[in-house]
Amino acid sequence: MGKIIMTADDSASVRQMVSFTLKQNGYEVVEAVDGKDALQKLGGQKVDMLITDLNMPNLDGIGLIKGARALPSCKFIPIVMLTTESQDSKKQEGKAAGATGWIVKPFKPEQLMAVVKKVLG
Amino acid sequence: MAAILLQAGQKPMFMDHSVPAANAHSLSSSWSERLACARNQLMEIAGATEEEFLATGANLHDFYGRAGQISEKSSEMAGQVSGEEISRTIQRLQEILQQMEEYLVHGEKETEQSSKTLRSILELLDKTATPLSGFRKINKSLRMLGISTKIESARLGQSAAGFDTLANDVGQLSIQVLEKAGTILEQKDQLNTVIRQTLNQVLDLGMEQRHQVQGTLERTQTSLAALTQVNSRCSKSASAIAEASGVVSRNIGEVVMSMQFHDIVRQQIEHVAEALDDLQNSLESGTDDREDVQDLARKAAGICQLQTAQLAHARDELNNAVGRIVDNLHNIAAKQSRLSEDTRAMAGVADQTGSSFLTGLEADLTMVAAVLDQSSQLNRTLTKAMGTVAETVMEITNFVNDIEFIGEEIELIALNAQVKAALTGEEGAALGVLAEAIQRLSVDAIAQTSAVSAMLTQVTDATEGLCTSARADVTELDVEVEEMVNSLPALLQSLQGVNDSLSGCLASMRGAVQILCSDIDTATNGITAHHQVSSVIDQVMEELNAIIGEALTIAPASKGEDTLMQLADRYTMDSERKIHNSIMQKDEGAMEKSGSAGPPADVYVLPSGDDLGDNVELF
Repeated sequence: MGKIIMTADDSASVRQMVSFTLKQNGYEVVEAVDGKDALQKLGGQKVDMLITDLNMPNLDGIGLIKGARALPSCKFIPIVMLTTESQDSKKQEGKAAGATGWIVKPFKPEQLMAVVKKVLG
Repeated sequence: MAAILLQAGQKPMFMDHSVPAANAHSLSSSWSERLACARNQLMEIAGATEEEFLATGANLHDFYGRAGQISEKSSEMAGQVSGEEISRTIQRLQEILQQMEEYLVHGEKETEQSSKTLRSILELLDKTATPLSGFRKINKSLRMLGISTKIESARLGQSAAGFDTLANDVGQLSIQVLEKAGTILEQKDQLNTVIRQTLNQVLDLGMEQRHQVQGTLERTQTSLAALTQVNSRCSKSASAIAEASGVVSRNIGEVVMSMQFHDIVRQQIEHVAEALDDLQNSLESGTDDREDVQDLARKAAGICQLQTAQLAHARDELNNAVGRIVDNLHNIAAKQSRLSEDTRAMAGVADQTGSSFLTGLEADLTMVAAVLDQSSQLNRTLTKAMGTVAETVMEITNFVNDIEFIGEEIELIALNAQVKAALTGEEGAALGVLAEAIQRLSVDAIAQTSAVSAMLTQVTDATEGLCTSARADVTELDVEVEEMVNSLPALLQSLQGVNDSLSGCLASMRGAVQILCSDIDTATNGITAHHQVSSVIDQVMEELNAIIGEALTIAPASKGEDTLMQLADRYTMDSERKIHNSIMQKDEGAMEKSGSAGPPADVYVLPSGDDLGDNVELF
């Protein structure tokens, strides 16, 4: 059974491409439409990794990371930001909240997979 | 501020914008309404492409899966042609071809030898005609001598008693010689006929058939060599198929990357809409002071110019992304079509009907097997004919022996006659002469039979040699031909099995590729939302450029750096910041080109080695 990765993004097309890439490589994918939705799902399901956008309605990526890190099941999982935001200040904010890494959109499938494999070991 | 919704192809209902009065209220009111209209249009269009992008994304999953199946099919076919079964079949066929060639060489040599021997037998038989015709002459002379002996015996009366009986004996023996010589001649003619028939019907025909087989064998060798090449080529095809799969993967990667521009461009348009919203709010707060009016105009010109550049970039990014999606999907279709054709060529199938050199090989080998079988039968016929020749020669020999025996009998009679004639004295002198003549004839008869006998001995030897050789050939060939003919159906069935399977796979692969290409065409032709987005962006840019023009007539030296600096905080993307910086540093010439600011360098740089790329950072 493949590892489970959650993708949280308010853009359905981005979720679709992340999901497509991960599934092609044998991972199971859980989708969340924003930070709030993601936190709710994380409360009921264990995942091996979280890939989240930064700017989302209801709860943004930073808030999601903080909320996820508060959950025992997500305390040590890799969390990678996938966002159009590229400012260092934002990256530092993400890092401080508990992000493992940062990918600026657009990503290439092999690039995303290289990151996933690296952080999942 | 009523939102103005656009239908596809419909022109936006912008307000009439004649040169504004240098009045703060009227200026604010005119620009404010036009900016509101533009902002609403942008918000309306920002997410309009999502449905099409999602549909394309769903198709992408399907296309990727089907492209993978086509590659698998290609691998499967290459595996069939390079598999162990066909390798064994090729090896066995090569062995059989070798045997067939050896058989042909041997058969040709044997046929030539048999033909030569049979022709020499014919010559020997022809040579027996002279001594055999000599028996007729001997018979005639013996009859005459017999009559003369009877006459002389009658003239001498009692003193020549016994010569009459002697003459009768000689006469009867001469008749026997004639009869036996006639029989020999008759049988010689029959033999001649048998041999000529054998030569014409068996040997010449066999030679012709062997020549035909030689041509077919050469063709089969060529087919087998082609099959061997295909076998070898298919063994090395894995890398070509992997390369094709790699190209498809790269195309898919490009599509996945380009698909994200829907979200990126949406955000860029939203940022522009927000900037226009802010400007509209500033304008609505208004002022009556002339200095403030000029500041407002500068601000409006600066913001509109910047947003025009951002919009142009967003439009170009979207169009380029859609272009890449369409191109890469078409590349996938083209690559799969090429893979299908390459596989067809690789597998050696020549045309779309599924026929291949395998079919030709099967037909040729079937023909060779049939000819080999016939050839074996011809050899049996030759052996049988030689048997007939041997039997006939044996019978002729018996008759020749009979004649020789008769000749000896006559000689004895002649010797007795000579003795009696001597005893008769002077009166028997004539009978003595007759007896001498009879004795000479008997010697001639014996000589003639010896000549015929010698020739027949040669015929017998040649026939026996041919029979032995033919019998040995038949036995050996029967075994070889039977083995070859028996093993061919299984080998051909194996080839046919591969051929059928290949034809089926190729047809299936071709069908799958055609459907994939058609579906990709349908999917790419259905992507049109970017045209609508471009159209709206162009209309908004036109409106913003008009506002810029109006603002410049109020405040020519337009500089709104403070406001523009504040706008920079709104950006999330490097591309937006680069455009912003380029506008901040622009000169007058660049200002006139607003709306055509080029996109910044792509933020994505391909990773090299362990580098994950410039857009990736792991903490």
